[in-house]
Amino acid sequence: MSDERDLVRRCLAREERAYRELIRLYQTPVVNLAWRITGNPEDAAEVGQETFIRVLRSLHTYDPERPLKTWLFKIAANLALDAIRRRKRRPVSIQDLFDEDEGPPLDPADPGPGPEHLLETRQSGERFDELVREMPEHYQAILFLRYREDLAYEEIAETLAIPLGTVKVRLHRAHEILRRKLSVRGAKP
Amino acid sequence: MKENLSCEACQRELVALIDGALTPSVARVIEGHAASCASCGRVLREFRSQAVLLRKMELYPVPASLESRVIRELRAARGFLNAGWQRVSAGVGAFCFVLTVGILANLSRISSGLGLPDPNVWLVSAIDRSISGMTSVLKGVAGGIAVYVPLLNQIWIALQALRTLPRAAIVSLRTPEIQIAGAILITLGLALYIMLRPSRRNEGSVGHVCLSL
Repeated sequence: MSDERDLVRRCLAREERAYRELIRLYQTPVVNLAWRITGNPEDAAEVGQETFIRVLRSLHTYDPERPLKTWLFKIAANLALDAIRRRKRRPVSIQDLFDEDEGPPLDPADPGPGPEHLLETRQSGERFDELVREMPEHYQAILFLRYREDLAYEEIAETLAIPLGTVKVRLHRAHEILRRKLSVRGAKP
Repeated sequence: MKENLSCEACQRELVALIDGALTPSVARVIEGHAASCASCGRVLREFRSQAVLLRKMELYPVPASLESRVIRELRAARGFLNAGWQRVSAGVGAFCFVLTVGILANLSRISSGLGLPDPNVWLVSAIDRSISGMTSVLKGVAGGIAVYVPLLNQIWIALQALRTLPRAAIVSLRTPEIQIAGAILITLGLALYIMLRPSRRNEGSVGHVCLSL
């Protein structure tokens, strides 16, 4: 945290080296979050670039008491949503992204694929990544923030500007979707 | 939370359980249910396995040019970066200042070392040259004024006289003698022109030749 504060202080002093350091430190998570939200590498690269430009220009408004990464992610997520709206691939709003309707209701009694299938899938990380990539972008984004970036539920809620309860529901839904997909793959490999 | 919770309610909390997002008391209840229920226990194990794999989720590569593009944009926006260049400029400025002070303080020594005249003489001669230069410029200006002002006056007077000519012509036209003479001259001129005007018919005639001449 003190390193982060020092980095921010140096960036506020407009040191080019500090700018480069900050970009190198956060470019992978920022671009990946943008990629998970937009589902498009070109958009993700643009969003990544714009995020850093905005962050470095408005760093004086940053509250050092809060994690820099969350602030970066929040800006990146907003820009990614703007990119989607601009491209008009489909009309998207925050509400759309976190719409609760997600296929047929899940059956709690359904035993699912079982650990054996999961084990088979685990043997191939690529196959699992494929399943994640097939999911709607908003689930990919939330899974990325929770598991790859290890953000707490509160931080995810802040980043994506959604209620805490929605984060919880989304994560549960994402896991269930993965379980169903694994089940289908297990039955028809 | 009740101990006899349904499997549906339990499974809704399983992800929060593995993410450590439940309060200890709720977590205990969920864990207890999952331990005693084969279906929920199985789902919990699957979610845990998923979480492990998700933590190794594939990362997309970042464009190599991103960093340079951001820096370029920031530089282009305004003299934004306090990079090395500003420091180098400040260093060069400070060095130049020190060098100038040093040269001025040791001017006599430097000039004698280089075999140049005494700096005091440079100063006096420079002042002398600049004063004489300024004097010669002033002299030139004064000489120019002496020559050109009378000439310009004469031209001005001539122009004033020219201005009076149209007025004189108008005044003179008001007299009946001039008006009659003018009418006669215009009539004669027109008659002469009509008689002698050039045309294809009389081309080469005396009138045509005269008018051409």
